[in-house]
Amino acid sequence: MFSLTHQERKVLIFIGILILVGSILRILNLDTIKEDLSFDKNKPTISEGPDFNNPINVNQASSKDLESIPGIGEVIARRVVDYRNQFGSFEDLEDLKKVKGIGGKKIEAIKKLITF
Amino acid sequence: MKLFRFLNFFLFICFCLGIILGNFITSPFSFLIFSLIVLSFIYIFYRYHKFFLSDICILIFFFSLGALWHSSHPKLAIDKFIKKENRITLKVISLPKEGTSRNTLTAQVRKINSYPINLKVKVSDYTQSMEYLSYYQLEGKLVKRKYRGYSYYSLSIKKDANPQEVFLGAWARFAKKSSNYILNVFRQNCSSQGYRFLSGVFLGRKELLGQEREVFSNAGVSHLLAISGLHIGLTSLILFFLLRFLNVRFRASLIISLVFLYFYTFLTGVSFSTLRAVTMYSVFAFGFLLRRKINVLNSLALAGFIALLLDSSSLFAIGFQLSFISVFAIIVSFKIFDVKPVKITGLHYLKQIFFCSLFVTLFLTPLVSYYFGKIYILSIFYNVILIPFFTFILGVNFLLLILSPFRILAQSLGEVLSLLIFGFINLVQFLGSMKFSFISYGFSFNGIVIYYLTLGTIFAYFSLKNNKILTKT
Repeated sequence: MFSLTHQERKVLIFIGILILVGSILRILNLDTIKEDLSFDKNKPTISEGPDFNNPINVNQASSKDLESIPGIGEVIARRVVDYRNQFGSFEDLEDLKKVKGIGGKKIEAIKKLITF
Repeated sequence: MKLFRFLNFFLFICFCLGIILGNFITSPFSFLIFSLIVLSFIYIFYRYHKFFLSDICILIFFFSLGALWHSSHPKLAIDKFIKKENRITLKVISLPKEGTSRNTLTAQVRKINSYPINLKVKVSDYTQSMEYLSYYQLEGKLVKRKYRGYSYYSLSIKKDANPQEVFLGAWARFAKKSSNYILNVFRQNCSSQGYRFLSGVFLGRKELLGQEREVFSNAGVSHLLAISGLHIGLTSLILFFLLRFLNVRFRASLIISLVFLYFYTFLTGVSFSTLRAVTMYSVFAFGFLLRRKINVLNSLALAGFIALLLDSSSLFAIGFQLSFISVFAIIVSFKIFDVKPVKITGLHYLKQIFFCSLFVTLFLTPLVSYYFGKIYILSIFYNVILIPFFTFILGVNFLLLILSPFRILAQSLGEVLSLLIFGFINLVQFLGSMKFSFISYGFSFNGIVIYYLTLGTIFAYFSLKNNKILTKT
């Protein structure tokens, strides 16, 4: 179809096989990364991202733990801790809304990631 | 035998389509199994001399390889490193922009912990100590951000992070020294505007260009700011003729210009357009040295293969698409409409620029409109005026670099160059401010498909017509 000679056709297949082997090595490398990350517990982790199975208790969490909730930065996390120290534990989501910077939209986004 | 004929353009297209599929279905194992099955079919058909079926299977094989290559891309694992403190090795690839409390720069991440990863990141350097083209190792937290629908990675380096400079190899040290020397020549001999412009167009340091970028964008000639085939062609030609002038043999001149070109590409940062231009130039040079005929379209495909094997996600980058489609447009249109590069002097030169510009605009309009919401109408004519002017500026720039050891000569040349650049930028500004320079209109995705189908049909019609005329004669 491409008017290729036998030699050219063989070269093409050889290049294809090289890419195939390269891809296999990349897949193996990807797996190593995943394994390493799942077993390396000593690595200092600042934020783990959203975890719906283990919601964060806003009445017990430290400022750093709160920062791991998407949408909560350093400033809001500090405000939450300050508010808790000043007025005591949060009872419900409405209570949390009293913190400056946390509104209805933010509550809606994080309500599955927190507990009281 | 034509050199690189085996890297057929259709295979490249199949590989690209595979990458698009791999972007939607990230299941490398299923693609791996599929590739192995297709490979066995190729063998069976080849063995029983069914070459047509074997070739079809080769096409499908490259399609599945594209999907496999992309779905096993290490970038897909980067999200595992996000928002965590990691040991990062990076190279600074832009001149740091100094602020009051931090410097902002672009860096290429080479390693995260011990894993080799190729990733461009925007860095906020609060230590204000990182230097252009240096390598550093540091503890940092990568964050994925979104801006106007595009996602990018950013890295913030705290004041107490203490980035450790990694010892550079001889090649990288030489590149850093050369780059700094050239920047110093521009800074010492040219005006501030000239320094920023030349750093941008000659060394690819576009971060120094501020308002100028908008001026070029309004006129629809932003491609002049990107280091592309024009720069590569001009650089190699000037060096080649200089060596010939010094009585160096033809073949030796070609090889030396090729080596210099690789160095220049390394110096400017390997962008898509540079990589494409250098690969194509190399194919031409090797073809000449080995006395082989060259298929231009296949050399473009080879450049595409190299770019996609290095980073398959570059297929989705605007720069990659614009660069490859524009060259494809020139090659195909010149062949179909039989525009032959007879001479590169006088009116012939302007005619060729006009046709290049016309065909490129024809092919790129829907894409540019889709991404930037503008259709440039007059840029076809602007190129005819601006490209010769720009080529002249680049030529004087080379002269400045060659004569830079002679202070007085360099300073007077710098003055001339600054004046030329001032005139050039003002001319672009004037052209960009003209009425109907561009129309604000954004193509939809369906619009793009319809446009390219229509364009393809028209070109296919002319191609068939030309073939018939050729067979009759």
